[in-house]
Amino acid sequence: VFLLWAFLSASGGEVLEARLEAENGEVRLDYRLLVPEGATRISFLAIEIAGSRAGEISAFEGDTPLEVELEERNDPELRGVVHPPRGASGERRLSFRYRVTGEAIPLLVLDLPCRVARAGTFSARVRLPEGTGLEGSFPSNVARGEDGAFVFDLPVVPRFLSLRAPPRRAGLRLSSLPGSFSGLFAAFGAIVLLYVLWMLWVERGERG
Amino acid sequence: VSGTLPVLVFGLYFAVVFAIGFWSMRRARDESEYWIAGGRLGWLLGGAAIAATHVSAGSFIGTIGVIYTAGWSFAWIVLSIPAAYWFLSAVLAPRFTRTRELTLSAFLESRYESRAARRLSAAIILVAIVVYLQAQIVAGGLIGNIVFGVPTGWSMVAFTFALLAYTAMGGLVAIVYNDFMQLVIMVLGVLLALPIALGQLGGADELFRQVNAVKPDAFGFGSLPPSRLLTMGLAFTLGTVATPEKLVRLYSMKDMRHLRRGSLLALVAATGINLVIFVIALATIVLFPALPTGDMAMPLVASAVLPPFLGALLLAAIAAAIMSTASALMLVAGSALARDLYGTVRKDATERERLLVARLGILVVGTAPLLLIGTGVGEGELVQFIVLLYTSLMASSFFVPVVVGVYWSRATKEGTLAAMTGGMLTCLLWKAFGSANIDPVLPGLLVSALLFVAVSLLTATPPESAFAPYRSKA
Repeated sequence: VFLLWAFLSASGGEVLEARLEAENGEVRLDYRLLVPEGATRISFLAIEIAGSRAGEISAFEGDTPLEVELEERNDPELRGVVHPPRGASGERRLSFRYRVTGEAIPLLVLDLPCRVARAGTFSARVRLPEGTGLEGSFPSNVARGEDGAFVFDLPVVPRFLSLRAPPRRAGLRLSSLPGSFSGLFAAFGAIVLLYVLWMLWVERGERG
Repeated sequence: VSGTLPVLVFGLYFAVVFAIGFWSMRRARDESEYWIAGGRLGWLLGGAAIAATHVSAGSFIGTIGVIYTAGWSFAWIVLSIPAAYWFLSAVLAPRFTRTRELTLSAFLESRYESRAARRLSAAIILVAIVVYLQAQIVAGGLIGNIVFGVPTGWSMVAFTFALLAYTAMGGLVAIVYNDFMQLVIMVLGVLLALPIALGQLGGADELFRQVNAVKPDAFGFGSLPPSRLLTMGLAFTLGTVATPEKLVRLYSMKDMRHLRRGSLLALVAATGINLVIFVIALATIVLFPALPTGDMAMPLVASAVLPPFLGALLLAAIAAAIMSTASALMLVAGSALARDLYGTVRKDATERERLLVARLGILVVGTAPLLLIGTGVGEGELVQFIVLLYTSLMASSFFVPVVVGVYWSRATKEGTLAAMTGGMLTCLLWKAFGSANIDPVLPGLLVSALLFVAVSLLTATPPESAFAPYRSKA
């Protein structure tokens, strides 16, 4: 664990701040970050959430377009790299523009840590179509701005934003489990059963 | 989580905690009542108290942080809980509880007929508890910061004094009743948080798919070396058996039947709470990428995943977990000072004097971690690893003298002094200079066992009276 943290620290890059604006499926995500010394590429990942995916991605530093490469994969996640300008290092600003296809907004999450968590590290303003109300959200601490936009403020960058309540009973569906996960629960159940049997056996012996 | 609702939830929670503390203070008439609740606890209250003491900041803040960072492999360590409680009930307790002492150190004095063993163990316990309390107080400060917006440093100070007040007031009676309430809050908090956290991701199926997508090695065993994982499991198992706050709980139970049933309740509750927390930890891997420290994961679930009331309830559950463990530790520290150090120096001290020293001692020991935090000791350590160090230290120092001591009549006081000293020093030296892939408990335990046996065999046979209470019943 410590080696992992040490590696992340040594890589030198970090996200300092992220701001997101979204309206009608158009998303703009601005990062302020420390680009690692000598970095020629920064990878990112956007998950598919509630059927919503990111697409038509472009990246900029100021008005200068940056090269974006997307990985061709079969899974619904979107992985790619953005190439910062040659020799870029230290504090830089990086903007992504993309479209989302559903009601949730997956973020293009950079493969860099947020070194410090403090209020305002991530903020977002999302406008819903006229007449659309809020039905639960992630993150849950959402506020309404003066212009009617929904405003989020978090000490870290989330994986996605959602302004719809999750489907009822969604948590109960289970079709497959990783072996290591189900194995642990099965082992626990077996141990409890063995303990009860042992206890009953001892108490029977005590009664004579 | 902000606004008046969380403050109201926390206000109500603290009001009940203090009411129980005040009521218990009026009830605690003598030392036995204060330290071991008169030795009359049934399986429900006693088992709940053991479970609440077991589930600490280590579970609610620390474990989730390690799983967030290293993946599911760490979750397997939870099996150390049932293993430890079976060992306590089946192997140790039947002999250990034959003499009903008030502290672990008093047991060591009685078993080895050695005042030096009592003083040395009390000193080790005091030092280790200050380290452990530090982790609980850091986590408490984090919660106070989120709920009340008070800077973390001041929040730690306020949290410490709240803890000190009810522990010093009511002793174990206050702790046991508070533990019961706190366990109920913990269970409610995690059970209500789980479906909402899963729901945010679209259900359990989606959770596993997303975790595999963002952290492909999450369910593998590659992130923690097997030697580290196994020895950490050993530390938690032996540590659960040998920590003074758990051993004293054995003395507080009415009889062996209640003890076995209480242990079953404790192992089901503590393991169950941990398992639910682990699943929430998986959700945080997806919800919050790249946290600066894994210890932030659970407070973020409370503040950014749950609606305000449930968020406040979960934070109250975390506070409950921290407080139930920290208060038990403070009580043990107070007993070490009052009975095992002061009581053995001033033999003519009255019961009233010893209780006063205990209450003052709890204040002193309880504030010491604040000084450590103020000077930056342990800064940046994941909470779980501070907890682990305490557990390893206790197992290295006390497991052999306590467990082997009730089965081996040839064990001597010199052997136990050597085992405690050698085990503790080896554990600390390994932590400072040894391989990080092996937990210090393994070398600590080996050295302790070796010294215990070798020195016992090289020194004079102990008097028959020392082992008499523990001899097998024909």
